[in-house]
Amino acid sequence: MTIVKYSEYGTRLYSGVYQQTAIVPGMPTHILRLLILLGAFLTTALAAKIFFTDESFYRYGHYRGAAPAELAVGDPQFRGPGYCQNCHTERHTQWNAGVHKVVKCEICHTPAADHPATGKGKLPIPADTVKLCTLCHEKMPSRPATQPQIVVKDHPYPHEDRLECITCHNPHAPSIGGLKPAVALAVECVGCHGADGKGVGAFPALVGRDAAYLKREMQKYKSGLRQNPMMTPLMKALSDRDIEELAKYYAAMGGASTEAPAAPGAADVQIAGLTAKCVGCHGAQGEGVGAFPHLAGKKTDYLIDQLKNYKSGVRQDPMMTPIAKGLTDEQIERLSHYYGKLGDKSAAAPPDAVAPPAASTAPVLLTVKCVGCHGAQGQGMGAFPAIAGKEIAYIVDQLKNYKSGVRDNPMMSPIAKSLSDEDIEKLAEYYALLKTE
Amino acid sequence: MKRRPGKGKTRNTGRRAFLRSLGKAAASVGAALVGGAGMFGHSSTGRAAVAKPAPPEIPGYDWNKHRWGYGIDANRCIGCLRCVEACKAENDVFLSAHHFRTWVERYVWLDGEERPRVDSHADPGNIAASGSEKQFRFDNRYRDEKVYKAFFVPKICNHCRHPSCVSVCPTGATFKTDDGAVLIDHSYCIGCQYCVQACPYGARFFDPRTHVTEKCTWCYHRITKGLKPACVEVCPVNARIFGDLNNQASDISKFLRENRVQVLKPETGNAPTCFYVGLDKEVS
Repeated sequence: MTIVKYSEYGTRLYSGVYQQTAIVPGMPTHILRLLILLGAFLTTALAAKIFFTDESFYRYGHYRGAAPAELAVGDPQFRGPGYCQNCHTERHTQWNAGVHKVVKCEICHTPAADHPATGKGKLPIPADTVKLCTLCHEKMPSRPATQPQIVVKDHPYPHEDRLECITCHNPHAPSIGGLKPAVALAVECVGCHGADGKGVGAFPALVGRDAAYLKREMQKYKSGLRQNPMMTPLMKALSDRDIEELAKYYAAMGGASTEAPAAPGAADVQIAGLTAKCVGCHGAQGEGVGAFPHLAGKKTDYLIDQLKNYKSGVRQDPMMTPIAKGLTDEQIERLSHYYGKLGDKSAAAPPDAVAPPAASTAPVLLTVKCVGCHGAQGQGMGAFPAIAGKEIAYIVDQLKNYKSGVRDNPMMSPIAKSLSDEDIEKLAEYYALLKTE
Repeated sequence: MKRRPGKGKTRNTGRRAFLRSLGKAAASVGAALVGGAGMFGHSSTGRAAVAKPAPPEIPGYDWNKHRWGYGIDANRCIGCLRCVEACKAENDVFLSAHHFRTWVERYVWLDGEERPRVDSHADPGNIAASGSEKQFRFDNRYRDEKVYKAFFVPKICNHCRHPSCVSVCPTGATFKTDDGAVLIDHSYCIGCQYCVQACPYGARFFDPRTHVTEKCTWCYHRITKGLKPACVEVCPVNARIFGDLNNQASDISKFLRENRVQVLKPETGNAPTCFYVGLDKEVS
């Protein structure tokens, strides 16, 4: 078929073309060109696809087959408690036995990653435990009721002072739930034995003691085999179960202070080991603290006599008597010599310089009953409130309430009952004034 | 024009059958062109012809033996957000409150209100309570309100069986592995964010550092080593459950057996493998 087209000027166009297209009869040239172009494009695209697509593409699907293996590479940051256990065995055992075993190490201590291999050092120990613990334990409407929660401002500890949660709770074994939690019980201990149970002054350390020992001694107080004006009423208020919980709690706290395991009766006890029983109340250098008299500078013979008096029962004092009874005659002499000599060195300091400037001596003697818990200056300790600077009328009222039984407390009630109304007023005046001094 | 009943239907079927056969023909031509290895990865005809390829070379791991599943017990969640922080630490996720692979929502109905108030760790109030965008906590804003009902819901990529994100990806950068995870090949991702748009659950985000899309991988580097994902590992109340659906003794199998579970937005047809207990009708 020949189709000849002419331009408007009569020139013949496409003259030679139609002979070539004779191969595909009936197909116009421009269509053939398009087809050739398309073919070239497809060939290029296919070549590009074959050359540029990753070898592993389509191995498993429309993606690069090597990708999953690449994504599986990488060291886990969170290693799990089993990893921590390798070195921190003791802590792990304690943690694993408690209710917090669901809270893995790395939640609070950040992921271990390659600790301790590299120079990263120790993992952080959370400083702001109030912020940390309330992440889970702050009372919130959306939290399930099964979750132990506290209303932070009402929690029975002085949060105004930002007392850390771990002061009372052992984060690795918090006794939450159960019957009467040891933590709640321990509130009655911390005033004298310290917030960390490591002992305060004359009050011995509890942490790290054997659970069986603690249990036995507490039961002795309860049964009356052992007598102490402070421990006896406290222990009588506890059930056997409570005693066991408390014993386990303090035994589990670990970290026994160095003075705790001092072997009684060891012949070569160092003087430092002996004075550990004195310094809490009488000061590090025996200079006296608050109502507690100075020892440094006293005559050696006087000290020997008085200690022996306490030991034999000639002189009686709820704090001194048990301490003196725990000393051998040889130890009494060594202690007395030590404090006697101390006085020579610090003779320049007037012995009464640090005694509180009280109006009379009478209240100072009375405060012996207070300072163990409320602090040498009435500043409060742990769960025990400050009494220094309180209104006279308030202190009088409360002491009288304890005395009459309106307010009841295993520690305060017997103490208040032993005070006359006059004593109460003197004490109130003393502590009310203390703040301003 | 008036259509006769029945007639139109026949015509439609004819057209569909024709298109289907056309598709099959194209597929087989394509398969022939590239040597039968399956140029059209999704085409079942192309893949059935060849033996199943060896699993990816992951030491000590064969993905044909596993089929992972994830469970969330919203009844247990206490909203401590340790999971969110753990995820960031484990996977080097961009440290901002607005970029996250997993998150927790709080639903609160106040007395007399019909709709819940919903917030997550990225809420300004919660950022303020935390004091930093690198740590997270829920504030206690409903402390003094009269709350009718309230709970937390942990959220995460659902690792759908029919993932819409994978369907829209133009480069094959995101894909579903044979063991059930939906992953992203960052070297193929061009950052077009179609997948971010396509995901009905909002589980994906664009990483401003690397300019590629990011999402939960179920901690693929952990699960292939026999570990649990970081969020599951740290959850103190076992609100997050992970395990092998192939193993009847696994945590997830137990979870599915013992609970009546549901999935989020089943109407999308995405078929999530993330199963929930304790959702409410407003949660989606």
